[in-house]
Amino acid sequence: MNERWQRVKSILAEALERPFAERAAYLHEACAGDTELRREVESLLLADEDAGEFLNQPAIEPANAVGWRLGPYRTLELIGQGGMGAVYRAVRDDDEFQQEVAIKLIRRGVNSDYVRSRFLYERQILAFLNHPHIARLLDGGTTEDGLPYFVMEFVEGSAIDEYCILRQLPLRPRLELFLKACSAVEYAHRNLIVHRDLKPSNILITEDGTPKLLDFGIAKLLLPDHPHLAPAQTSLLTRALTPDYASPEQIRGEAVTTATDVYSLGVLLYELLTGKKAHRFNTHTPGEIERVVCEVEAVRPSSLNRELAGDLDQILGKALEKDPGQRYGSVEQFAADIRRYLTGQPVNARSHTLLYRVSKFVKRRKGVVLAVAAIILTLLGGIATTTREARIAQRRFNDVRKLANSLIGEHDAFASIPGSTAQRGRLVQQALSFLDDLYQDASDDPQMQRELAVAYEKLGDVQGRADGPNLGKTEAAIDSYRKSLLLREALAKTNGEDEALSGLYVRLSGALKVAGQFTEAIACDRKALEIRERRMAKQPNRPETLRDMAESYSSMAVGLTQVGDWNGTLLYRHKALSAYLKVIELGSRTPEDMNGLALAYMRMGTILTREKQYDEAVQNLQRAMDVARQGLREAGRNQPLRMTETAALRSLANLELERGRPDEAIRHFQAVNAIYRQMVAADPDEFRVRSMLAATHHRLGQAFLQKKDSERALEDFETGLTMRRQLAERNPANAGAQGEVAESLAAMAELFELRGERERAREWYGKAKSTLAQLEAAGRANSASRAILDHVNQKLNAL
Amino acid sequence: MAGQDVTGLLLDWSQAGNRQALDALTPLVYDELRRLAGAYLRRERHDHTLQSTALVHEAYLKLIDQRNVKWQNRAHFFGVAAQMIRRILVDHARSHQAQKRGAGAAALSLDEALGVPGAQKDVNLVALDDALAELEKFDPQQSRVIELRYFAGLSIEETAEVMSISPATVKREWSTARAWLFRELNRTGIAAPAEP
Repeated sequence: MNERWQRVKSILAEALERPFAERAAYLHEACAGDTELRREVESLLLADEDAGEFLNQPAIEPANAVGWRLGPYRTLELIGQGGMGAVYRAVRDDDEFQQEVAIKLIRRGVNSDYVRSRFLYERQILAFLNHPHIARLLDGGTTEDGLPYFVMEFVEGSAIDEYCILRQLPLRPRLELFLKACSAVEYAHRNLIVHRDLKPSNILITEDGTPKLLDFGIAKLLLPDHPHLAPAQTSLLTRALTPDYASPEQIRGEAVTTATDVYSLGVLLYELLTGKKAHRFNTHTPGEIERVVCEVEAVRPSSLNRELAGDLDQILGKALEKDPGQRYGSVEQFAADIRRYLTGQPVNARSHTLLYRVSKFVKRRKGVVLAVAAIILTLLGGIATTTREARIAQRRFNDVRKLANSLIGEHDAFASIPGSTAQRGRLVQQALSFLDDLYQDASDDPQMQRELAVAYEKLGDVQGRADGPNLGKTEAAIDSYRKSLLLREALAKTNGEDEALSGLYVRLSGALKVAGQFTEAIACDRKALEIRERRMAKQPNRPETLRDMAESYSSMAVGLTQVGDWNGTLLYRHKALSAYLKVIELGSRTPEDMNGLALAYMRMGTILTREKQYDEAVQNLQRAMDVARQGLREAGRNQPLRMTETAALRSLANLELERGRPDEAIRHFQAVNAIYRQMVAADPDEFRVRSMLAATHHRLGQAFLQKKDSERALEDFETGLTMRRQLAERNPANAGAQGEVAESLAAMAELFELRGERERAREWYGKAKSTLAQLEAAGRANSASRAILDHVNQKLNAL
Repeated sequence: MAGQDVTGLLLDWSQAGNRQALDALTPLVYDELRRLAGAYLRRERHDHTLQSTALVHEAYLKLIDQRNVKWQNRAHFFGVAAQMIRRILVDHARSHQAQKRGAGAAALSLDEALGVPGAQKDVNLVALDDALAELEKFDPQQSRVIELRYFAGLSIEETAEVMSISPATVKREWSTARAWLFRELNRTGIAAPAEP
């Protein structure tokens, strides 16, 4: 056998080294008529072809990567291993500076597409984050054999629990340390990133007491606009979760939100304060883990540490709610409650106590109640149980409904606080999901229908109300409004309730205009006006009625402007202004009324500017600013009034530009810009201010161009264009945003034309034209975008 | 295990060619692996998959991460370790297979049972071990190459160094043995089909 095999082997090895096509000829020669030999070699060659990757990956992972050189770094020691990769301490090996870093390297042998994309996703997520309490991403690369790695700030410290124990920190510093860690999680959430794996070993505390959040290995980006960034099979994530810190929704495999991190932080704080784990497992079977995490409430913290009695019991209880909807709405709120505790203020965790205790009682006792009921049923024939069950069901129903409505109520309190848009969206969404559930059971109850309609309207407002802070999700807003419309129209038919219906028509109209659906928008305005005029005939001097009329007139005017009906616009602007004047005359000076009046003046001003009646226009704009400022003096902080004041100043700047006074225009625009920048910084999720900031840059560019300062003009045009492109990408349904991109493109072209750079001018006009043509083809062009298109076409012909 | 003893035995074996040193070394390496395994088993971990992975891992890292031993000595150390790892993995696989046989399980995917990262999903370690034993009878050098490369994860160059043969030879031994083993495993119908 041995000798025979040596022959087979040597021929086989030769053959394997030869190109495929030459093998047959080689075998023929080498085997020299020994058919058995030849058959043997052929069979092995066939096996080789089929073998694929057989044995190519070692049975276990080969040597670790200590001592490897990765780009300019050299790994020194293995400091951690996870499911996907290992983390090494490393130094930058340049002579210039010896920087210590941590390098995460994907594990060899698990380099599948999925793991790889997950790994790169973590790198991507880290690139988004820049916070003093999050370990920073420094660099990234690929090894010579194709393994991706990334370089992070090296954090030398101990896990937060160890740190607290070793230093024997008292309660207050523990809480303060925890708050610092929360700020990092909060920051990640503001960037729409959920960590999903918060536990002591992922929060290191450095020697000087600074927490550093690590390991975004299973973090998730909650950005619906970037699904391509997320690896497809999140559910296949094989990494074992630590059941000690996992939330019920993670154990059940349900949707993970920022509330998941709230829960894990709650577990962590529980442990830091009581020294005990919140989850206590008897065994580690999946069933037991699920039971403990999803059903067993943690032992009351104060029974483990007396210091915690009262507020901290409540705070931990709220963070550790099994139902994500009952927890703190955000890490921010969780942290704020701890701060309130530290400063001796009443904490929020207590405010719903009575209500949720009741509902919790019902939930907890449902099983017992039903068991008792079953016994009574057999004894008494069912009468007692049905009433009892019905009562319990009714009570629970009412509790949930109250809770949902109180959440929606809270929403209004948030509405005029700058910077609150994203939280409001979550809040309303949460309340809505409660109501949606309830609606299934009570769809013929008019009160339910009303509540649900309100909820959909509020949701629509946050998603994309045309004249309020919103998330720029116009399609979604229209969708929510239409859902409400079904309910409102039904209520109007059955109960004659049409006041709220008319308001809804106006809201829907606003969103439709944003989406470029002007005909339908105007039809909505007409329906609203019909209802309101009927009411007006009955109660001519009621401020509410007048306000509604004014609102409808304004809305109508906006629609008519969009389709280029200037006479109609002027008419409805006048009507709106006189309606608001009458409201104020009747003695109502709420911030909303003041804002309505200021807006009416401002719009008169812009129409008159268009009509080139500059002096009268300036008067109206001046009045707009005066009214807004008066309102602000009376109301204090009020976002809508501040917006109107700024918008009036911007209109004034536009006017100056139009009548050829660029210096004044520039001065005003720069003032406007400064205000918008502040607002954007305060609320990065807000869409409307961003688009106005972009428009102001565009206008500044035009003003500089008027002064023949093409360098500065180019700067502002470019800034405006970049911002507008981002906005248009974020909200593809917003036809106005697309049109504005085209406007910016045309402005760039014009600038090059003025400089005599004909080629570049043509190129930019061409870009503008194709953007506009797309809008036109989609049937979403408005009068402004058509005017730009005409202009662009003329220019292209002339050049 | 005293690191000094192991180093000394390694030197005796690799430099002085002392066969007895190897005989003394083998149980030490095996004991170390078993000791690590025992430590893992005693720790109350409930996820067996994870546990076994970690076991093999740590044992492996412990064995090779001897920074005070020069590469050549470490290379010989690998040689011993490769056999041990083979034995531990295959024993583990056999016991699992025995357990599962009753339950009507067909070919056991060992790597799944072990959760060993880097192993292919469809290599049947028990069948591979039997085939390797067969191969060893008529070509011990080839069997050794497979052991070092597959079980210890050595590169072609490293394998060449441990075995004191040329890399070209290792390559030829490797590719021909791989074809033979693959055919053998398929012939017995135990190995899973190759990738398309």
